[in-house]
Amino acid sequence: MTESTPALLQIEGLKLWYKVYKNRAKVLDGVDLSVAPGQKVGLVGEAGCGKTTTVKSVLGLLPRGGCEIPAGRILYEGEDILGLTEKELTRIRNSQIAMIHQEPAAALNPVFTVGEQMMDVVRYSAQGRGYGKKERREIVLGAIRDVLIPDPERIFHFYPNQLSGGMKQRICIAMAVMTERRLLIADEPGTALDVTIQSQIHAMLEEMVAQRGMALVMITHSLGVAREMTDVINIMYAGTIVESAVSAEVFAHPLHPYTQGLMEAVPRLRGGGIQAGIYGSLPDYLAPPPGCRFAPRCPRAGDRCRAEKPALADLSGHRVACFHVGTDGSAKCQ
Amino acid sequence: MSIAQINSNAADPILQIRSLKQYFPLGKKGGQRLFVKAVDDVSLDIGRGEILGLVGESGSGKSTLAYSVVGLYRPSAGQILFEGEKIGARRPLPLRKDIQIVFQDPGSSLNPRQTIGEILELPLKVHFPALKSGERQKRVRELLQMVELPAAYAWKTPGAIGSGEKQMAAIARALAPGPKFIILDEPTSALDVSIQAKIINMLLRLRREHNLTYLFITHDLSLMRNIATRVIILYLGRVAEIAGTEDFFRRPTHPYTQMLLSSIPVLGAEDEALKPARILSQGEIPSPVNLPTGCSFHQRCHAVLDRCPGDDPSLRQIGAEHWVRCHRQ
Repeated sequence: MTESTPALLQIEGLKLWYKVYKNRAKVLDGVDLSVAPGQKVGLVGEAGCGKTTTVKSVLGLLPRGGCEIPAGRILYEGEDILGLTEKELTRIRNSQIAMIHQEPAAALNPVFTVGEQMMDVVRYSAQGRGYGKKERREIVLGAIRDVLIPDPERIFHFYPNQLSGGMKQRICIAMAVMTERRLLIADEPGTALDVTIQSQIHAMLEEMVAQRGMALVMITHSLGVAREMTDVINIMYAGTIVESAVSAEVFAHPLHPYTQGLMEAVPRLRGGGIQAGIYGSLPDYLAPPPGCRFAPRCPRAGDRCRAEKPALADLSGHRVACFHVGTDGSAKCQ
Repeated sequence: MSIAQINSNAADPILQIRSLKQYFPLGKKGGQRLFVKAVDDVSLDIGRGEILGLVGESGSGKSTLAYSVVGLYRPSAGQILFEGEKIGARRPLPLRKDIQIVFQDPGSSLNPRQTIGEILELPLKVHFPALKSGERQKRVRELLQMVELPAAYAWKTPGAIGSGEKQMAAIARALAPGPKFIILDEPTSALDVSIQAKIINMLLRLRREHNLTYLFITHDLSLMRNIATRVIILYLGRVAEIAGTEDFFRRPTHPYTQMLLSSIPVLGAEDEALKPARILSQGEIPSPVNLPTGCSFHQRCHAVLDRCPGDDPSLRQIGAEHWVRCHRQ
């Protein structure tokens, strides 16, 4: 990735704390993430590491009274989203960024037909304001057809519960891309589905994004999915990005101990048994470790790791947050 | 050849399933009685000490098959034999002790109001009524040790521990009666890979130490490649393919197996080379109420023949332990 292309979305040092009674769950601890126009960026990490919190903060979908952002900026086309009013944020939501959620059954409203809720999306999008009902209907039918659902006229009048999981997710994709957007955030779009349907959905998503020249932020817990679908991968652990590089580079030379542990834990088709995995579990966000958040689970952790938080250092394009990785890109203590 | 002959060469079968059918009535429509045919004529033998991987998508009947084996359902037809003896849904206590199950979601399979200690004590009270309270406590500590949990966890409730630890506690509960055969119903699919690795290694150790046999239900073929002795593919309640693990991955034969394998996202070129060329799923998984005529897979099949929609193929043997239900074989 060249630094000269201006980023579409740029998250800098984002910290986010959830309010928990008298305490604060310090979930995001300085997230850096950059998405160039048309780029496909993966955000990979295990359950509870803050992937969804990160993207929801971009769209302003987190409860305003329930969390605080003590530091950081979220720049969309150079404009800090965090300073915007709800009305200005709505303008970005209805013309710039769309999101696909993990659970299609929960993302669709059960008491409206597919057609009704899709019509609403067009109606409240910046682009759809000028359209009449008939034109909106045409856009919706075209969008249903685009995601390869036969007989759109019939599906238009269906309630979500009349559709299978794969069909519902395809409707969600159709909804996200049917009006012009520049950035699509997909939050584990295939995770709730069977593998054969998941690969169908991923192929469709790739095609839609490519056709429309949209940028994609793909959230997944699966390294394999990220490898297939993204140009750049960001590995997230306990609210920080620990490693970020071009996808092929991450798989060829994983540098962070967490990335390495994660890769070893994935069962391979070639066989070879199951490796040990990573010792321990995610830290308690109410009292996170003061230094590197991975230190309590890290086989290489030393005194410095436990006291000081490593910054995301740039090693000729491959960025990694670990004291044990030398400036030449080699891991010192391997 | 009848499917009942599958693995008749297994020297010491611990469990034998013979033409098992599990139909669930749905009432009548147009004078016709409707059924969900969740398991439809499945026969297989499981040898002692095996890890048999049972793989299929949602609705394939994997869990139903498991529940029939533990006795939660009364089979509509067919037989289940455990160590050579026929077993029904109502079983004497010693038999229930031998066959245990670990469910997919430990969040819902453990009582949130009991402590882990109480959860582990219940099977001990049921199966070993002669044990005194102190002996039971001691046994609970041993069980926690077996699944690598600290002894202090006996006083914690499921809500206070992580999801991986909950699953370990559920495994300890299954071990409590001292079973010979454990059904693992997607024990790690709700967990992160780093935790999955830990639990799988633990299960492999427990199997060695206690001479256990596992029926491992999963949708993860990569995982089965690494731990199963044999793999069965179930599709809409029927066996599509069954083979020894090596043979299965060297020669995946059923078009559905090939589709499943080609859909797996892998981490590198080496694994990519082991997958069949990408076969995108066409259409949806049919409803088990209205099964397609002929081969139940023909609507989604990339290698469909003229005879497939009308003629239901039977399982054919194509190798020592390799059976496939497909007209192309």
